[in-house]
Amino acid sequence: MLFPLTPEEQSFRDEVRGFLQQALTPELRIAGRRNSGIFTDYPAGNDWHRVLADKGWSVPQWPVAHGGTGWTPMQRYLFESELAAADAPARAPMGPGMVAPVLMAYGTPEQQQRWLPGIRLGLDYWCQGYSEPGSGSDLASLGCQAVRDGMHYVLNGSKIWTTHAHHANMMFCLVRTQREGKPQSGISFLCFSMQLSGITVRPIPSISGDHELNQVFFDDVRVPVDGLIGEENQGWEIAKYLLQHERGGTWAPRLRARWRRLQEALLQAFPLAQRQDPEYSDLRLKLTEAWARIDALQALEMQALRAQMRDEPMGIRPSMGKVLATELKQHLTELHVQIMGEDVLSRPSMQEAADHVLPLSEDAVFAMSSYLNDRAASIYGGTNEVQRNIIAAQLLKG
Amino acid sequence: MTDFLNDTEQEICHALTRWLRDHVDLAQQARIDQEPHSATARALWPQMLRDLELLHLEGGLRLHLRILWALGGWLSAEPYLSAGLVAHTALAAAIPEPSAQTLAAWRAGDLRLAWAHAETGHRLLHQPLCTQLHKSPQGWLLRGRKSRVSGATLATHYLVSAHSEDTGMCWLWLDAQSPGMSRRDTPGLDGQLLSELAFDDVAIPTGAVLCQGAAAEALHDRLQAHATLGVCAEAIGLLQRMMDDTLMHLRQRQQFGQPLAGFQVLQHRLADMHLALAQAQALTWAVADTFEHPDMTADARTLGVSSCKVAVGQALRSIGQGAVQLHGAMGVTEELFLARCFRRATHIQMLLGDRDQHLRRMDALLFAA
Repeated sequence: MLFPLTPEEQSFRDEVRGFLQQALTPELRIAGRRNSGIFTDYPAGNDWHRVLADKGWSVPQWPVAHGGTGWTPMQRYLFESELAAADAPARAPMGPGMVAPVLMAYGTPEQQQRWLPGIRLGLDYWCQGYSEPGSGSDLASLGCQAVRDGMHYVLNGSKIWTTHAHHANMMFCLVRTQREGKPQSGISFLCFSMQLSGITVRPIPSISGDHELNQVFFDDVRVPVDGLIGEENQGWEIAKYLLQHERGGTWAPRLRARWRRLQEALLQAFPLAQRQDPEYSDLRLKLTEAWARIDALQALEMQALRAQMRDEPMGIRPSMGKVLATELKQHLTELHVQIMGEDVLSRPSMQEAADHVLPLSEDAVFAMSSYLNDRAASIYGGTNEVQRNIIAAQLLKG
Repeated sequence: MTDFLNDTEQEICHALTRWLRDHVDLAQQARIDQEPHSATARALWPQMLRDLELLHLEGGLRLHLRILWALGGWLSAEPYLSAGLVAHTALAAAIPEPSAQTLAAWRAGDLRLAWAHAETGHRLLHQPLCTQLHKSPQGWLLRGRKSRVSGATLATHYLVSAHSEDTGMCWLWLDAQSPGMSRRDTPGLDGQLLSELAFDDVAIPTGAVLCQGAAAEALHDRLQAHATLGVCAEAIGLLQRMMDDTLMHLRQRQQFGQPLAGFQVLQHRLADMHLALAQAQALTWAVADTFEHPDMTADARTLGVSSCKVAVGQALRSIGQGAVQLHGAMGVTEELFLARCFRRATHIQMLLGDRDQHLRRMDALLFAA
């Protein structure tokens, strides 16, 4: 532990541990451990979210008035660390971490009432409609069209890279409501049900073979106007606000847990008799280097959490965290592959590997899937190149 | 980015910065073609203590590190590192406790200490002590050499580590004028004077032994840790200065009909430099401010300090080399303060164990079980 704990923090950590011991079932732990993507697949992820909701811990970071826990930054950090260490399924952030802050900042009380409880309790599952086939990094060029018709917007166009759209019952979406002027000034932010007629979801298999991503098509979809968040054409401002939350948050607890998994893998790959092997020392040193990088990131994240508690604007902190954490995560997945060696070349299902039907290791399958899936880390949420643009622009503003 | 300063520290650092602005001439400071840096330090140090009474403040390690941070950007930290922080750590460990008179002399700047531990060939993980304390019919005698001693020209006393045939390691507190001692000064990489000390059967009075055996080993670890954190804090201040200078240069310098700031390849390099600095500073303050915590184990302290030196080492390299590169030809000349900052940055990189040595030390601890 980089930071010593106060007695209160220690007892808080013990409370979390105690809770996890009884609430986190073996099935949930396995799902958490096998997840090689950004977050766990819908059934296990959402089940776990509901268990946390029963305890009142599903949305710790929210304001207390909306169901947050009012924890200190350190408590939030400990909570995340304990969850990660116990292999709790990683939960989808689209509801609790992305659209919820937007609803709190820009939604009407009626909209907050309508959607926030469903997010907190895990009754609704949200997906994010941002990127389009022609609009990736240049998000402001998006063209998915929404035309006002009485009490509805009529939606036509398409969204892409929509993670878990095939599980979601709700979507928050950036649409074009005006073509004149700067591209940024004609965008609106809409929330609607995925069950509306005219919505089609097409799966896009990922580089690892997993199904996380989709393309979503809108054909004359009639979205009720009460799904408009903020003002018409205020969407870009809201989108930027949301992106800060998407990129914000803490990564170090999960990275630390992943590091321990790699250490375990290394010690297994090189039994005592083989530890004179120079390859063992090389890999060990690389792991040590990664540990030091996690230390530095953790310190930076703790600083950001404290700033957040003082209500300071987040500025470029989310961009900094995103670049550092995703590149570190990618580095860890690459190291994991190196540790497992040629075993990563066989691709049975993780269940098959775990059942020992074949003499293949589950961890090797996980390592390769994780490596493949995590190539996306430096692309999603705004590519790391865009993040570096943002950081430099802020520095040079002077 | 000064949220690591509380209100009192902010006041102290502001006053110190104002003082430095009035007294340090950046056009001359630490030039390689001028009188060695330690000469200015020698002149300024007593005045700085008189004007600001820095050693009268009750802030412990935490405040020492903030002061070193503020001094870092003015290439003015070395006297404080040895005569301030290291001296304080040594005085606090002295058995028996130092007299009120000794402490008063230290606070006033009349008692100035230089830390004489390093010997030729020392590396972070290999520091055999060839300096020996041995018995003779006349009493204890010290024989050996100390290398790269910083602040010796300013010192009234030396804090010397030695190996005694009786108790193992011991720390001695020697008058700089003791008979049998000689000093040769050489310019250091960063423009300060570094000294080679020779002890040829220097008679050691009993009172000169600060501590020995396990207590001496413990003090050794403490001195290493405090000084490492000290140079890390200094480095943060130094690198902030280099970063600011670089940003200014990119905004002003025009090439291809536009400011350099407009080129994305330079922007991304800047972003990476900033990331290295932000991490180094966050980790330095995190480790520094939990160092004295009673729940910290010795291993956790060592891991933290080494991790700090790793992150700072990375930042020194990234910002040091980056700042010089982004300044173009001007960056490699003595015309700019930047070049002198780069030498100090490189100096700190190698001082008290470089990045890789600290990684090795962490590696041994992380995989000890």
